[in-house]
Amino acid sequence: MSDSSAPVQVHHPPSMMELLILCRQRPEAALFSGGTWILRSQRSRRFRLPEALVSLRGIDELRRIGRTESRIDIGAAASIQRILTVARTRLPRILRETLESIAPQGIRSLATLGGNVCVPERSMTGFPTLHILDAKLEFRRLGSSRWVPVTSSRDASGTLLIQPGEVLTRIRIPLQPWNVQHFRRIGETPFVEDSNYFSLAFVGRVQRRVLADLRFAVASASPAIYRNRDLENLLVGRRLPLPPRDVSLFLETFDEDIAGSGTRLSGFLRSRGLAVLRRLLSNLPPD
Amino acid sequence: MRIPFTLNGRQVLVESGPDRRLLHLLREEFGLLGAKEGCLQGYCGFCLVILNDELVPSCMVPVFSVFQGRVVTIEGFRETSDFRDIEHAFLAEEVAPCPSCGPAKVLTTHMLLKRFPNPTEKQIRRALSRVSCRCTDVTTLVAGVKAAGANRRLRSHVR
Repeated sequence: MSDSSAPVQVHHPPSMMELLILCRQRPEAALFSGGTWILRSQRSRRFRLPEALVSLRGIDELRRIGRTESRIDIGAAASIQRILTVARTRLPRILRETLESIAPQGIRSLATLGGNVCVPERSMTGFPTLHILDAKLEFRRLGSSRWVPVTSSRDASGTLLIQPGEVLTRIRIPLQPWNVQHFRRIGETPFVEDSNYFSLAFVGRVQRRVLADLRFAVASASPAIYRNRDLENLLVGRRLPLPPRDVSLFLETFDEDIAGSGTRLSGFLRSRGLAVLRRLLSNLPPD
Repeated sequence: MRIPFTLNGRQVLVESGPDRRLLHLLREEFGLLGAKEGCLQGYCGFCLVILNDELVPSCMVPVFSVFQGRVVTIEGFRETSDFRDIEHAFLAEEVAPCPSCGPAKVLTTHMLLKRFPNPTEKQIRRALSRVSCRCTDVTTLVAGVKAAGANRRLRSHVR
């Protein structure tokens, strides 16, 4: 961050091409759309800004939202409020619930889903939902682009695997027929330093009273999210309603696993999270 | 740095450090006092302005962000007939003319009616939840917004 004497350099590329050129020339410059992560918790009259910034406001391409029968593409710099306004009825319900839980409305007019995904030090609210929905991220650099599944966009320590000079441009979410969708966040806002929170994203598919598919992921104030496919498969194929002892066994296994996973969660939040999961699993609709 | 943008329909050019808050620029450079300083965190809603057709907390917008953008404050909005729809409705329904949150509530109402000309109570409550002042009870506010919507629909039919 700049001190009061060092000038802040701000670039305003008017097009995607100029943005990519700038990112190659200045890979250290911070990309700024809503800036809600960079500006969080600052109460002084003047913001403390990074020494070099690239403003994404002038690039319309980064704010486009498009949909086909099978997917929805969201520009990385589209504000969360804009996503909810333009695409409300076309978003998967879990994604809508996730976005509505991100900050008060005023902040949502500035915050972006791309920014939410790219926060370096922790998994923010949107990440577990995108993870279980098999979303993909488009990274572009001058002369090339690549699509990366959200599931492999971070390494084991939670660091986002973005190359120097690359820009996150789109988030692609497949539209799948989940008939159980649920998102819940408990605890403090992730924007506060040393905050403690538990974000649960949960989807399931029930066919003829059988739990055909189940996915869930947990985010807390750790860089990596918690997701265990073996645990998910414990219940897949079971008839509904799930027997209470199966639910209890599942939750005990989850509790033990998450405690040993390095996920930063207070005992209180873990117990509340378990209660939410128990209620979800015990009340899965038969069809 | 020099920052050109449109403010209340007029092209302006300011010289400012990029780290300054838009809220303070509007109040101190332009004397536009409608947006108020509250929490400085984007939560209370007292500083709401319209930036590029989105309602944003101006306390959380660094001035470089408005480069070639369009900013509308309550002072600019007051010049429009859309404002009078809301003003008359709020007066008729006795919505408190609170100096802290009044401008924010008016702009919020305007943006809501742009999107939903005949909003439901749920939509109104959701929209107004972004302004945290409790000077007026919610029932009165809802009535005020509905009346504003009715005024606006009547005016567009008459036109």
